[in-house]
Amino acid sequence: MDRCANVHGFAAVTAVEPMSTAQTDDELVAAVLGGDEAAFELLFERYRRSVTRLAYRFFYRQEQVEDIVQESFANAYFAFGSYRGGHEKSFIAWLSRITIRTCYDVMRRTRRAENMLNELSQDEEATLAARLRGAALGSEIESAAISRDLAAKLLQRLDPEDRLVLTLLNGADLSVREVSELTGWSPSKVKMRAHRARKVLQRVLHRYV
Amino acid sequence: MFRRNEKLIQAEQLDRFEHEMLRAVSASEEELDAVADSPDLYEKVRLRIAVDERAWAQPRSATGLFGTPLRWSLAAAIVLILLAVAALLWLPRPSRETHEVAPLVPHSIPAPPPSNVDQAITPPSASTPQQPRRVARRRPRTDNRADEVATDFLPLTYIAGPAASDSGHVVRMNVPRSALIAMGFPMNVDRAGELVKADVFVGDDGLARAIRFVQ
Repeated sequence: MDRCANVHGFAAVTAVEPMSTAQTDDELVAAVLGGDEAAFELLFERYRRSVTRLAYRFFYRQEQVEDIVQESFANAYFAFGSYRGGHEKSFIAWLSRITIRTCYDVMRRTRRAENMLNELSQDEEATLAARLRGAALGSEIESAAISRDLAAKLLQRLDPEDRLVLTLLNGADLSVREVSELTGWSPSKVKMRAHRARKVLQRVLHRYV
Repeated sequence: MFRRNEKLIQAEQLDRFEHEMLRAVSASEEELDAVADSPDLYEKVRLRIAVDERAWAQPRSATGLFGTPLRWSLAAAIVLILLAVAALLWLPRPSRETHEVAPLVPHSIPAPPPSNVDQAITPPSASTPQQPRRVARRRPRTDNRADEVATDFLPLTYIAGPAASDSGHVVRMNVPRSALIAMGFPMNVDRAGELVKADVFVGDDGLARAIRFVQ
């Protein structure tokens, strides 16, 4: 969650609103609630990259990720009234929760359609089996070498909840507590979901070992 | 032992592949830039907000009563219909027999003719005007009176005379079976000690005027 990571975008906004660089997130949110659209644009510039990065954890097509980013910021805009500031990281944590909720909703909405398309082709099956055999022999599997489509298809076989937890824990390297805070689920539910997701995934992969 | 080691290797292998796979799906910086630095992204967000605002501002056409979404209203209606059908099927049904109630017939039995007791007492039904007979089946009565068979009222001749009363009431009582003989009915002597039902017409002066036997 890199705050102010997008230097170019941030600079572009500050060129228009030079005084707003000193404003904290909480002040900007208050300004948005007061009807200041420039404050919202500034918040958008600060966190557009973070939201995009988070959306890319769950979705792989550019247009889909762009859609998630738009929807997340729109949801945040309508939820500003529920934002309670207070400490330094709170806005990005709040925005991340909204983004994850948006991703989760989209995953649930599109699951049925995706399920119909996620059957592995014969080539993909052969590739997967070969890579798994290679791993057993001790050769290093490079992440980049694995087809993203193949990985995406495998992950789509999981329930949205399981996929969300597994991606955040193993893909984003978050702790159970952090995942619990982001999703609003209890730590035990996060652990249970992670365990279940691994079991399902291993069952799928086991066919090709 | 060998099988256990093999399983462990497979589990490690799968864990490792799972990690690699999850890392493989993360986006590269170029991909990230393509979306995050898109020049019209903010405009699209604004547009999305405007569309959502308009959608919220518009009256919701697909809502039912009290703002309930239409699909919930439909679901509730379907559930209610199913409950009604289930209730019709499971609740005890009223009997299909017609329960036509016969016109009330006065229970008081007209007194036998006071003056001429030599005449046979006609049963009360004979003296009342003929009612159209109902063919509808009656509900079984708890007091078995409908199933009873009774003789005609037989005058008790010992009270014959002008002092006889012309009004009174009928009393149901058990009399010894031997009383049948006194009225001229055949009787099994072995059962003389048993009791039989009888309706006794008692005049206002307290004297029994007529009797009929009931089975």
